[in-house]
Amino acid sequence: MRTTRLLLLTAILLLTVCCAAAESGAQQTSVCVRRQTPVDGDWFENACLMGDSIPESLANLDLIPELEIIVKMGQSPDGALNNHDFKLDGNYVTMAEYVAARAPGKLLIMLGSNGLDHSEPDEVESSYRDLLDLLEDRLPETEFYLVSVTPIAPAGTERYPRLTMPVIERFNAMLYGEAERRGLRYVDVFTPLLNEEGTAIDSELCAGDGIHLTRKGSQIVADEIRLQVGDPRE
Amino acid sequence: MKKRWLLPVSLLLVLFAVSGCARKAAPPAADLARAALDSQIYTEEMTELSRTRTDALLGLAEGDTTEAVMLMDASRSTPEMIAVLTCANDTSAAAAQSKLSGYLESLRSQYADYRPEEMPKLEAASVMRCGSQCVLIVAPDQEAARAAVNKAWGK
Repeated sequence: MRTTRLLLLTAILLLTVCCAAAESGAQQTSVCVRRQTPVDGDWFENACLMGDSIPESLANLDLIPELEIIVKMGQSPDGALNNHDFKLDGNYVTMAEYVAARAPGKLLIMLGSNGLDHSEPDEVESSYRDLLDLLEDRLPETEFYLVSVTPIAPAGTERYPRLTMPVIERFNAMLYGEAERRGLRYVDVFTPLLNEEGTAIDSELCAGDGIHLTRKGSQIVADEIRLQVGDPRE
Repeated sequence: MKKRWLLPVSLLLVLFAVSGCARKAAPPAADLARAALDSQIYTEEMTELSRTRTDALLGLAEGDTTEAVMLMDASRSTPEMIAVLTCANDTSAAAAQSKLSGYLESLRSQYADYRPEEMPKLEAASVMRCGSQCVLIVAPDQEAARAAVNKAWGK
């Protein structure tokens, strides 16, 4: 009898723990979602991605043809806010202003690697938040998707000593937190690119510089974006 | 009297013969791109771009070219690329040449700050033209690439 009671209590306890874990998982899904099936091309018809040279490979390889990809080599969050290097109606404007003028229904932001490679993480995080403030203000109807910074190989850190895996992980945690705080979505392309040990990008997925993505790496990013952007409430 | 026009005409004929571009049909753009690709080992995997992406990058409109083949290091970690444009006539080829030159300039300005160590490849690169065909190659060994293209052009 005692054994039965003990078993029953253990079962209830286990059930409670499992439910709590599931609830915690459910809370996460409001920010970061992995769908079972990817969204189709139509989903990207009114979407735009702003970024640096890393997502440029998505455009070069036509991996999400319906997605408008606006990129600039070496673009940092600060550069997207302050550098007037995009031509709009005969004037030079910032990338943020250029994107805002496009008024996309969905905006994916994939920035951060450039910035973390030469500035203090606090400064880059602050610029990213300012960029989000501006874009959210200018685009109140737009759905925002904050795409994580991709992992790097040791060769990347050799080239840019400030750009390390812990720095990238910290930045991505900030992105996740901002997404949660602002009610936006976070897209994790960092984890799927990691090697088995979880210490760096898988060597097959990055170019010789340890930073940019090979065809296979770019394909994984495109697939993950398609998997994670869908709304679970749909 | 005859000698007056004979000399310039002879010079023109010699020039055409030396240039190797007169009256000779342009080789298929894909063959020319392949020759440039096979001329050396590129730093990263070279990927052939779609026609849509090629047009977007080079600012080409429908009808500007009869053939356009572009391969590049799609990762953008290097500026290495091969672009071969074949046009309907010499006038269109001159316009295409200008677009390739503009693209080369934009690469130079992008990489100057971002990856200065790649600049020697961009500084050595130039747009080549033979009749109605234009080629831009950014490669580790520009001379080898140029020699391969000239050979394909029969020069």
